[in-house]
Amino acid sequence: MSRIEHHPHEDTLLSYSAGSLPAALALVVGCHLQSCSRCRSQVRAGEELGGELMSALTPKSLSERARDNVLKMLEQQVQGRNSADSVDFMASGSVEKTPRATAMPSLLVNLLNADDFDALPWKKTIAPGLKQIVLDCDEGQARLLRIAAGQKMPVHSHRGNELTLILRGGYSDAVGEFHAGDVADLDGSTEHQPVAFDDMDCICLAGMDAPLAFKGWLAKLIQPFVGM
Amino acid sequence: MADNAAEPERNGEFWADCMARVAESRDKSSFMLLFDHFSPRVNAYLLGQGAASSMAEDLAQEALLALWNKAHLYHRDKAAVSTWLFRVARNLWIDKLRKQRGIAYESDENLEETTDSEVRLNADGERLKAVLDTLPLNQAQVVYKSYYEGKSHSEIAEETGMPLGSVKSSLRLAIKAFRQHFGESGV
Repeated sequence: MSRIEHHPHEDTLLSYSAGSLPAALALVVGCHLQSCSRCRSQVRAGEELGGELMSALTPKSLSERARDNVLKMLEQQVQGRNSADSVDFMASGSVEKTPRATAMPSLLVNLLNADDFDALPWKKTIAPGLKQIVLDCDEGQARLLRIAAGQKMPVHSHRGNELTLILRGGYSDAVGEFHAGDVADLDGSTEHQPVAFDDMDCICLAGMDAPLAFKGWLAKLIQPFVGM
Repeated sequence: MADNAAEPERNGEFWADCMARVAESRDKSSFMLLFDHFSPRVNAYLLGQGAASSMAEDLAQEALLALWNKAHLYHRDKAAVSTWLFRVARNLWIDKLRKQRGIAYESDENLEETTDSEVRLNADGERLKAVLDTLPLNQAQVVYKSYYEGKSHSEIAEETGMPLGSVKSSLRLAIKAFRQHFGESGV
């Protein structure tokens, strides 16, 4: 979609294709893909590469027993096929092709078991005008952030990889303006100071993979907001 | 590849034809051709990811059975069989041993989603391997570790002693090289 201006870097998308992006970052990419056909194409190309790389591996045969076993199972699968089909089609029918930019991505809906940002149990943080929800994630850290309209975040910087997807509203910083659907893909130590747009709260999903660069509790709160 | 000489005709078109016969007439002999070709490769992929041999064998069987059961969802104009199977195997592995990443991927039922990219049915592993061989060592290494070992950028940086920024730029250069060899196709 052309209105999305900021995308994950192609190395990030490649790792997502490879299945090697830590869960917290992969979640952000997965949510972005649901509204970005450009990145979906890139991920698909990365999966083609994966298929070709897999084909180039030195084959390691399964045991004869496994082969016999699969042959036997084909018989059973033939009989059970029709009922399995209807489930498959229902699942594939639920794909939304053109999600609205402010709608909650379905991956998040699945994770949160909710589809309304305003009804989520937002927790206040020590930073003024910043609320958050920490998402359960054992590879890296993921959280939803809600920055009050017009709120200026403290200047900060980080190490490690961090992806931030704007889900509603937006912010501006030294890099530019970030609107719903945009992703900030950051790995640097540059400082930045995001300022939420005036017209509405900015809601975003931030994922990071690195151990915290700063140990302090204040830094931990601000960490997901990325070093630019 | 050890067995390649024995099957010179077996390119992407050939495998897509096998899939069509499985979908249309539940043709077991076509399926077993697919099985005998792809299951050792899926198995090798899973072993490379660190799966124990019994787990790899179970998951490889499961991936190939998914191919049998969902052959009717396969569209040759959307993806090569190897792409489709890679995605199934990757997702199975993530579901089994890396549960957390499962939160980040659409289910396999959405495999046929529309993309604008052109499918390169005739690309095969041999050609790709040749490109890999021409890459500088550090580029080949980051591709290898990303795909075969499932390592994140940070993990690769830690293991190789490369700075994180170099890991990322090496990957980008490798992507560029693959594109040059396999055509642009909007990637």
